Amino acid sequence: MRHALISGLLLGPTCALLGIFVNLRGMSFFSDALAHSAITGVALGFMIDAWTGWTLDPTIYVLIFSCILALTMGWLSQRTPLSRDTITAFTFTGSVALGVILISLLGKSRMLEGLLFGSIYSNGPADIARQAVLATIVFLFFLTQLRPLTLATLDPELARARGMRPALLHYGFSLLVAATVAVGLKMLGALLLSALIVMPAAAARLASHSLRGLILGACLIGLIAPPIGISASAALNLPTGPSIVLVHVAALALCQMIRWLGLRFTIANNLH
Amino acid sequence: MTPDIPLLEARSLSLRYGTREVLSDFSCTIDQGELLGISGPNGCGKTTLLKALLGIHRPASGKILRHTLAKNPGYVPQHAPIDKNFPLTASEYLAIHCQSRIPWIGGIPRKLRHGICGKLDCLGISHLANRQLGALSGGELQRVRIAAALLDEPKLLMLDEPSSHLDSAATGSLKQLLLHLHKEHSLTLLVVSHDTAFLKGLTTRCIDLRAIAEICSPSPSWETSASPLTTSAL
Repeated sequence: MRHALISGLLLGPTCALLGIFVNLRGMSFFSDALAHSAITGVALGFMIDAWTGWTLDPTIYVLIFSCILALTMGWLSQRTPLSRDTITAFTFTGSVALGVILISLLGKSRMLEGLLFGSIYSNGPADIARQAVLATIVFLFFLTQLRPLTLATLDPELARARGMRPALLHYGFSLLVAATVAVGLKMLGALLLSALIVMPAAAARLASHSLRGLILGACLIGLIAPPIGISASAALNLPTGPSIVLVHVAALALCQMIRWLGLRFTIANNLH
Repeated sequence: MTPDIPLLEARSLSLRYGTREVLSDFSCTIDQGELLGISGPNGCGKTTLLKALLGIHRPASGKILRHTLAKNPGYVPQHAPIDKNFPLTASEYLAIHCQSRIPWIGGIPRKLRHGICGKLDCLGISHLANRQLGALSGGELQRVRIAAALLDEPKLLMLDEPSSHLDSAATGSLKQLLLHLHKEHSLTLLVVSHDTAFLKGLTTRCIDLRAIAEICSPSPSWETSASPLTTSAL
């Protein structure tokens, strides 16, 4: 339980922070696709282990596979006339199909449930260390790249004119999403992980006019929703992953109500 | 302000847009303190030329020389539709344009606030500081974009079709603002527009790309200038 709570506190705000730009850049489907494609990463890992006799942590294989996939999708979207959505769709379905076939060939079909839904209680100290490293990297990335990333999201051409490199930023950001998917897979599984990335920012966006409000709102939801979900699931004997997702859905509904009531807020920057 | 110092010089530029050559053997100069207009119909290469002068479009051939004062020109690109729901206030919009490497994560760093506040005041839009970009009118948004382009105190400001999507009142107001910036703040301006009526009465000199001929006053004799221009990385 303690490990689960620590994982939630580390991954919640990390995913929320990334989710802000996943949301603003229209990459929700991208993060979903990466999460589902992790199945193939795990399957490939088993095959490599079987051939080589290695016994590497599956997270490493998922990390490598997700990063390759993220870079491939980015490259295809820049080098082909296909839309980002279309590229994500065929990469998503193709890699999931490959993963399921490989897992069934390996005779490990029973693993699929764990991959799809995760098991936060199996998180050990090594997982928490990985999550802490990821949280630090993501925070540092945002601390140094928030301005260029925002401008590149709003107006890539203007960002280029200001000496920024929107394409490089996009690749860097995509790699961070891929790494988060790989590290977070154990917590929520492929089906629910993208909810942790997409929902806090989506909820905060409903209730905020400003970037500052969006960041604070998303991080707050990302920080409190996982512990509430974990505690509720333990108290009511419910599955943990879905409980965390439902808390996020509740936060989304609350923010929509705030919007309906006209209470949208701007956490203003005092210029004086 | 010292007049007739060439800030930018294009020598025998040939520009391509995709596989199509849009401009060939084009030469011009922008002197300090002038308000140069570039006009021409759609597709004649105005924006491509502007991007080449900015250094974000590689010319097929030719040279662009930049004075040290024009190293980081301000740039207001052609109006691009902004996501009305993008959660960004006008002051945050200015903050993301700043070249400074001060780290921040949400709140505008104290070091940037003074500059942002000054620019908003200068353009008479300090009341818009906390308004969401999507809630601004076309004219207000254009002023905010100009304020953002001026944040790093450039000596040269380039605007691409600044009057597009503006009604006549907002266009008139924008014209006054540009004239004010030119006269009171000694800013050199390069304005690209297909709207010759907008450029008339605004620019001190105008180049018509369709004719590649100057339709206002003649160009100063920059060809013989020995000012400290440097070749841009082409």
